Amino acid sequence: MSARRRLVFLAGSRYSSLGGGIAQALDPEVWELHAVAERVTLDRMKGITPGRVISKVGELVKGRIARWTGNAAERDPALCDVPGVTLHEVARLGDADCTALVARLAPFASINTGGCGILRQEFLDVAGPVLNIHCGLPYTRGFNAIEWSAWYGLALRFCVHVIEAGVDTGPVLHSEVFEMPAAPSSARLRDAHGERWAPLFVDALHRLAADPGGAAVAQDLAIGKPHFALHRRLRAVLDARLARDEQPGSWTPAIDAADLAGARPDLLGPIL
Amino acid sequence: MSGPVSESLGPDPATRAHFAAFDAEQLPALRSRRDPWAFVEAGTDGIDAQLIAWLSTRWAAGLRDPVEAVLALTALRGAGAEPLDAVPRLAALDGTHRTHWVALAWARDDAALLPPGTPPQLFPSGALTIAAHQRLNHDATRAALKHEVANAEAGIEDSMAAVHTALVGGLLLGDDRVFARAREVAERLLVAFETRKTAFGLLGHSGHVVDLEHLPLLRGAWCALAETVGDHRFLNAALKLAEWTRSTVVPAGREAAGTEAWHGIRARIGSDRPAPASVAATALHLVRAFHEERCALSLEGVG
Repeated sequence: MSARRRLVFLAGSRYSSLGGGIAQALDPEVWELHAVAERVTLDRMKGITPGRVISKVGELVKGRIARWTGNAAERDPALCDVPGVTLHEVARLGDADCTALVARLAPFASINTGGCGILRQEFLDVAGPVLNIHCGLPYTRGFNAIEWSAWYGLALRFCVHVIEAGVDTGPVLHSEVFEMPAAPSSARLRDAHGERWAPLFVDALHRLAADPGGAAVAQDLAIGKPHFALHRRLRAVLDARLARDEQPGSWTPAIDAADLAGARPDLLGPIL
Repeated sequence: MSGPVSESLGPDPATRAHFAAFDAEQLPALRSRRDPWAFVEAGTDGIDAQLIAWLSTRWAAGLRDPVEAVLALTALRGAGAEPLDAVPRLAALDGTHRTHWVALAWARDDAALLPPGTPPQLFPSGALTIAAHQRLNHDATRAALKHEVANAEAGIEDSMAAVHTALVGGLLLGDDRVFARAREVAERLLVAFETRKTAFGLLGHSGHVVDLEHLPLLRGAWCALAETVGDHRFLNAALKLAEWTRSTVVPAGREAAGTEAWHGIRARIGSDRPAPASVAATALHLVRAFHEERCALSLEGVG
């Protein structure tokens, strides 16, 4: 048997179901799997709001009931529950200790399954190509990219890319159209986009393994700008537009007069 | 102070009685606290409708006390009302109310509210608003605007007001180069603010001095960009900055109240203590200074 390729999952928690979904789809004869996950600390617990706890408990209860009644949707396992995955817990992804750990592992590639934040060059130098999935590269780099893409009326896409020190500036391994889901909303867009990530990551890994040097296409950095979290008022406008017009591509690329006429007092009142 | 406000309220006996009672009972009670800040606290922390009505009417009836005039404005703003709704009623007032108009103009960054004869240094945005005030009809005004924009461009790395002036002035003058320069700096400020999630993040990160009183100008610059070039990231950031300012720096209305109340109190007690800063100083600094002064006044007595 030839040497297995070592893959590192970078995860905000050992319970990542995205990581679990990818891990169970990979051939253990070909891939040696490691999970580098942030451990739960008191500091991290402090950031958990009561609303988040209630929401999570609600999800757990619903999941239990669904399993008892046999109506449970098939869910990917937690990363730490997939056989063959070696778990390493760190205080913070990308910090000095984590970098040293990943350097020792010397992976063929890494996958961001969430929670990475901004990774510094020292980390990226040792982690192999770190894969990430985005929407709308090279136009909408940064946060809430899918919402911003929808806002601009851009065709929505899945973009598997390699992380660089710049925010979402790395070369794209694979890009394909993301069809607008039924009854779209900003939340639904995000959920539907995420549902395809595991098979896309697996496919991208296979592409990378087949052609490590030439699979990725550099982005044109003259196009697009960094984006940040969409304000809730703009999100409300986006949801209203999505509900009104379900087809991407037929949207105007900016707020139109009708939007402003309807939303101006609430949308712009505090700042004009 | 003009006469009892209850005399100017028209024929409604119940209303007159209500405000007469307020004049007789609640106003002295408030005054006895020797604490003008109490009005501001009330205005921003849930002042009741009767007090708002009283202050508003008092103001419209010809208030002569700059502190209370500004507190009335604060109360209206703090309660979510639109103080400019009261402007038509103020239109009949004489020039003695200049300070109130200036406060309003500052609060809204609206030169149209400035009374005739206001010295240029009190204009919210320098020559730019002078130009707007004079409707850009005169060559001299246009030349002044060019001069102001050139100054703004020179100081664009240090001042949010300069960014605003260069951006809007560049637009008004059709100067694409200045506009592009201002847009570039506005973009850097956007990234700095969004990355740090606080306007204090603008300090050091962008090279800009954090001048909190100029944050509305930065918001204005961002909004102008969003509207003129269709880049809604700037509108997004302006919405967040407005929220941040309201929740973090000073509660709504306190900038104007702090500034005006400071000057009003100084005038009242004949203090020779120098003002903590010019009108263009940061709101936070003014409010802090106001708090410090309030401690001193509680010993000396006010009014």
